[in-house]
Amino acid sequence: MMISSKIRILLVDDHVIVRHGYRTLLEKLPDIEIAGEAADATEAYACFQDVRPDVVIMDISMPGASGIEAIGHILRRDSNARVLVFTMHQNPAFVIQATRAGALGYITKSSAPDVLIRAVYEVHGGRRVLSPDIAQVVAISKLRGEPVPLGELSPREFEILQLLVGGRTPQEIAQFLHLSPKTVANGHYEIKRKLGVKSDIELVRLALRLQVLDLVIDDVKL
Amino acid sequence: MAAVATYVLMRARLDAIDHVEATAERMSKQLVLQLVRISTSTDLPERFPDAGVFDPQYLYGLCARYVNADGDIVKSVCRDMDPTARRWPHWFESAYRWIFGPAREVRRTVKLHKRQYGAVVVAPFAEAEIARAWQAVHGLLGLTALTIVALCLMAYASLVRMLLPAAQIVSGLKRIKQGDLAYRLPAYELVEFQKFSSTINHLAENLEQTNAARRELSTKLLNAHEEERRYLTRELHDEIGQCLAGIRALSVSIAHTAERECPRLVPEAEQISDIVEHMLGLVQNLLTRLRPPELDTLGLSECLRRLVQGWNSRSAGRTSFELDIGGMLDAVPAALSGHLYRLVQESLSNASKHAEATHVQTRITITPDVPTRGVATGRVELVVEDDGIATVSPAEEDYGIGLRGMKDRVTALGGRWSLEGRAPSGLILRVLLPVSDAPVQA
Repeated sequence: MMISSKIRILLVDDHVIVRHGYRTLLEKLPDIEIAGEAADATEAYACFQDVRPDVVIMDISMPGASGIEAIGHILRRDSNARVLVFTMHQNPAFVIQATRAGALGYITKSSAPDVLIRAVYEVHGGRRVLSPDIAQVVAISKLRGEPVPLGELSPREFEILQLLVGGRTPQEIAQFLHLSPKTVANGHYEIKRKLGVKSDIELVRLALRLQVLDLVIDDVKL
Repeated sequence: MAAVATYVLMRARLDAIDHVEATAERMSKQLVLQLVRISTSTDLPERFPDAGVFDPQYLYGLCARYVNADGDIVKSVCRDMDPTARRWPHWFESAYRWIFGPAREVRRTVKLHKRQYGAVVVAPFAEAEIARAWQAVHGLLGLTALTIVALCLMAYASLVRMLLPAAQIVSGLKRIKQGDLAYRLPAYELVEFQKFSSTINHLAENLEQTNAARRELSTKLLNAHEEERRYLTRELHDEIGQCLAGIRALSVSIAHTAERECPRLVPEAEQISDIVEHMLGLVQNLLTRLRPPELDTLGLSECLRRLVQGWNSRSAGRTSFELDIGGMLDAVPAALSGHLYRLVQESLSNASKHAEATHVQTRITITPDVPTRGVATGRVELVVEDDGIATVSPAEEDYGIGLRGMKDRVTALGGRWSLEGRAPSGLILRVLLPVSDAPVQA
């Protein structure tokens, strides 16, 4: 078997249309290849053993055994396996379940496809990743009664907030999110207005306190 | 009574006349006897007329005189009545006098052997006659009045006793009107009341059956509705949403290829992406409105926690929402979990819209009955309490669509509903729903 420098992916989803769409998209990328596809948990486990992928993209609600069970199964087999959950569910309870089972990333299907592509690289590098909508939900559930109107932010604004606090310039953010610099500037202003902060320093301080950058999922209290 | 009084008066008058006549008769006979005695020389002519005949003892209320053949009054004795006996009312006296006119005197001639010696004239005192009449009328009238009063009392008592069932029927009707359709009137002895009672009982039974049928129908409708929503949710979540995700990936893929090979196509591919993204947003909103898909995967408790969390984050500290869950809430049947979710959703939305509360407390407790033959039944109690501005619970006519819908839902599910004011201010909503394991069919 030829050693490839490409990231090899196992795509697990019971919907052929989704598998087909994302296979087409991901295969356009020069450094990614789809090593296998599976339609349920059992097939996923068998396929994992066969193809030894670098990253598993896993839906969690499938007929038969759930994706969460499949993740646990795979992780018990290979503790270095890198699993990225890709699902319709936006509930933090699923994030916790998936994280406990050993998944590194959690991306919702309502996120832009680019979000999934970026997440594949992050997870391949061993880093945790949440899609912005989920990151926001998790951050809200960590507020514990703090009167911060995080829920007022749109997922896009939350994403801009994360990137701002991560030290990116508005130009970089615009490029990263395929947005115009003007849209990012507007977003920046809206974030400050909605969160009721006056300066960028205050914004960063608030964001750090709420850990919007590095959301440790295990201690999320629901 | 007037007839009785008239009769008594007439009798009194006749008695009085009889008395006067009898006295005159007696006196004339005695005087004739004295004349006989004088003619046989056993009496003296000077003693005529005999004073004993005119003894006042026998002349109470009368005046008697003896008139000789020449018309001279030889002897006259009167005995007026006892003045203490004057006790009749004035009107009685005038009435008596008006009816009967003046008292009549009676004259009896004293004759012996075809020779007329004189005459005895007896005249009654009018007062004495009136006194006697009054005595008779008075006594009788008193007795009659007493009898009438006693009769009235007896009639009243028996009427009250007979009408007792009527009062009972009225109070029974009131109970039925207040919704106690299981109430039945007792049987009565009186045929009319018995007919009444059985007709009313029949009506109440009919109403009860109709109500039960209506409730069953509404429950079926609500459950069918909930089941339909569940189906739509599944389709939207599992099929439509997934297809959109697939299309979106493809459109981005097209854009990527187009960037290299045909840049003209890039804006069109991006337009497709935008449309699909918009549709995904619509699907998400529809899902939230229809029924959270997580109800079936994560369970009711988790969904309620999310719901409350959502309100907390939206209210940004103005109102704090709290949730207490007691018991195995996730064990309730799917349709009921949908209803409960909607009830909580609606009450929180109401509280946040109208209450201006600082604290909204939601408690939901499930209490299982003792399981019989493996069928899990019990009841769920939902209490939503706010410390808002309301001081009295709104009248039912003033319920908005939200409250009305909630109440209809609770009633249709055979549950109980109450919305009360809370001290010092705010409202408490209490809902009690039965849990049954009956399979729900769409």
